[in-house]
Amino acid sequence: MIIFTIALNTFREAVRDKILYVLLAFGGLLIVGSKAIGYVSFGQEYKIMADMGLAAIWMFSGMVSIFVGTGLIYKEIDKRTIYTILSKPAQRWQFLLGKYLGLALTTLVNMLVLSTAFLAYLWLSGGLVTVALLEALLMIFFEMLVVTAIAIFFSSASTPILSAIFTTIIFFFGQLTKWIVDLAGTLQASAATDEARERYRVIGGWLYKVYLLLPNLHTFNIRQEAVHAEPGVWIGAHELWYGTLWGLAYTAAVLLAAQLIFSRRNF
Amino acid sequence: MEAPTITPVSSSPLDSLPAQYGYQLFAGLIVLALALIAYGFISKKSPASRQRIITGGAALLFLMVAVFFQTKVDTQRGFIADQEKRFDAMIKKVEQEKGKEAALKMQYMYMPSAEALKVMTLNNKSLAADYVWLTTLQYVSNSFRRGEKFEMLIHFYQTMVDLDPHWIDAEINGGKVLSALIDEREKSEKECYKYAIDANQDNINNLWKLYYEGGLLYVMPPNDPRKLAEFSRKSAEYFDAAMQCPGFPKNMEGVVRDRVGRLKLEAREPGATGSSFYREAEEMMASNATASDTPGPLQEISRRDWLKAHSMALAAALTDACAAYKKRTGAFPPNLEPIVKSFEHPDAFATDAYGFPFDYDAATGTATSHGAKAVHAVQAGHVINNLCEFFHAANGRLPKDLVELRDFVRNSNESLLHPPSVMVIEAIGDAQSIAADTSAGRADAQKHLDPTVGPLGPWKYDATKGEVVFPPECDIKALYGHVADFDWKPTSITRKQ
Repeated sequence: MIIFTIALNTFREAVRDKILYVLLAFGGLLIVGSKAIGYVSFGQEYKIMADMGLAAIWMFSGMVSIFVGTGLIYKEIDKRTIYTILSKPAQRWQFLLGKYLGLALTTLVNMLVLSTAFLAYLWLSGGLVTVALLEALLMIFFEMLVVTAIAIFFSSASTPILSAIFTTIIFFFGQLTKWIVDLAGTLQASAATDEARERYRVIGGWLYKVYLLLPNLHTFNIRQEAVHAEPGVWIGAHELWYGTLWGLAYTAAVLLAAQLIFSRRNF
Repeated sequence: MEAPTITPVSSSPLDSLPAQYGYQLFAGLIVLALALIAYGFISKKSPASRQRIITGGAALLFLMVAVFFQTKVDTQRGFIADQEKRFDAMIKKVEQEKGKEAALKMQYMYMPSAEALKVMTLNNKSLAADYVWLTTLQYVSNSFRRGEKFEMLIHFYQTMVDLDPHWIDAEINGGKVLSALIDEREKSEKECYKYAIDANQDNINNLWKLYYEGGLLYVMPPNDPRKLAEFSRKSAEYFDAAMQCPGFPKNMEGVVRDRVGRLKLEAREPGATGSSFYREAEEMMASNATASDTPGPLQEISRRDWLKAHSMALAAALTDACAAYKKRTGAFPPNLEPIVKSFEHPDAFATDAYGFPFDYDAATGTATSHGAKAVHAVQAGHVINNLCEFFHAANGRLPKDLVELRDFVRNSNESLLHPPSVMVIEAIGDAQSIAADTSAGRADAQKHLDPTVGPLGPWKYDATKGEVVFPPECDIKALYGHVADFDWKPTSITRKQ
């Protein structure tokens, strides 16, 4: 109950944050403006609208998670309201989880608003609202759950500015982590001698281990497939389930790490 | 305020806006800003309201000041059009100093590689492909010319395919535009369609569209008529490949099969033999002519085409047999009798599909379908009659004979004849004597046009009517009379061992 109370309160506080509405407005503007770009696309209007809509929802949902999430815990500490909460029978982990769930709810509402606007606009413009697009939006939400957890992690350890910087770096870098694995392969293929090849093979092994520990957010990126999918066609349900389970496990690990830091923090 | 001097290269919506409205609006907004500031000072509202009014007025005033300075900047820097002129001048300078290749490479720098774009867009490859597509459209639709359009655009096209290979619509549209930029269709086939096909091997539902477009690329006759057979063969191969793809629409099968059959008929090389080619064509025509889902008019057309395909298949089989006879005996047979007897079903070769015995040239060992030649003669005759009308329009009288018409068509500057269209060349031209080069070849082809001789020999000419006299076998109703009771049965054209 305490967790849900904190979550609900966090949600109420977040929706009062003006940055949320600014981001929503820009997201909506980008979605609406995609039609103008579609006009000059020589018959590729709906594809471009779908691409830009999904990208806008992804980007602005990420920014909500980052900008709202990184200030959450710090604000409580700064305003000293955290003492009031923790003096009640509320454990630190309950506080952290409540904050996380509140922000996740904020992200969900934000995404629902943008997604509804996007799908309605696409449909009214004559495009098709396919099952695959809904899947892509769902995967964006799961990605934001991971990003939110990372934002909470940094927020529990650092100031809002640094938290925002670190979370943004991870949000961007998480889209490109598979290049680490590709790099090892490229190095191995370009090796001139057997010794070099063997060295790169060992390095590649270690790079792969590093890759497994990183937040590989590209796992949730099915936007390209969604745009080209035929109506009524689901995108690789098995792969998506594995990706979702990975995301949930990784989120749990990050939140537990946040709890480790938060539990030792003095304020 | 001085109006900026705009010398637009490409059209802009601003060009249609009369300049004085811009001035009036500008002046009006400045007056409004000053009025708001003045009102803020003299108004009797609360201090907070007055402060807001003054702040709003001041913000508007500063904005108009910024607009003023912007127009100054544009006047000096010459707006967008002059920027492009400066860029063009810079490219020309690089071209003169370092060569065309260097200038082209410089422009390539404006298009990052696919890998770089993937990183820049944070793995939003579809969005990156959209950017490349929109940039490509700018290059295509811009009025200025920079370097070689096809060479630059193909780089964009392939980058787009690398980023989003399943974007079939853009690949098709892009391929169409690019193939219109150069004469060499083989180049656009390799760089566009084959490139996209290779990237879409896993796109089983839509791969057929690319093969289909490849077929359409080669459907249009070439500038060099000597390439007609090759183009038709390639087109037929692409359409065949499209039909074999899983996602190919069932409702298109009839039409495409018919088209493939026609293309295979056209794909004969001059002097080429080979009956299997025509057998495939006649099987397709027969299938279309008898399929229940083929529309009535298409069935009729398919039956007529089957007559030609079947006749040519039989003629090709006879010609092949003559070649084998020569190989065995050292000379072509004097007539077709020993050849016909060598087949398992000699009665199949009694006549062609039109009911005529086969024509045979003992000197070259070539058998031809008299009926197919008669059909060709009908088409050629109508073309010659049209040319007589051309002559009449140019000279005020009909040609006195076909030799005079021949001289006219060989020297005319009419657009139909200079260079001659493929239809005219097929009707009265000599494909063997056409030079290799495209435009020069067709100009040379004009010198070899000869309306005096048709597929069935020298034409008879009626000078009073200005028309050729069709031989009795060129009766279209009689030629297609067999169509009414079409009942094609496969006939074996296997030779006895």
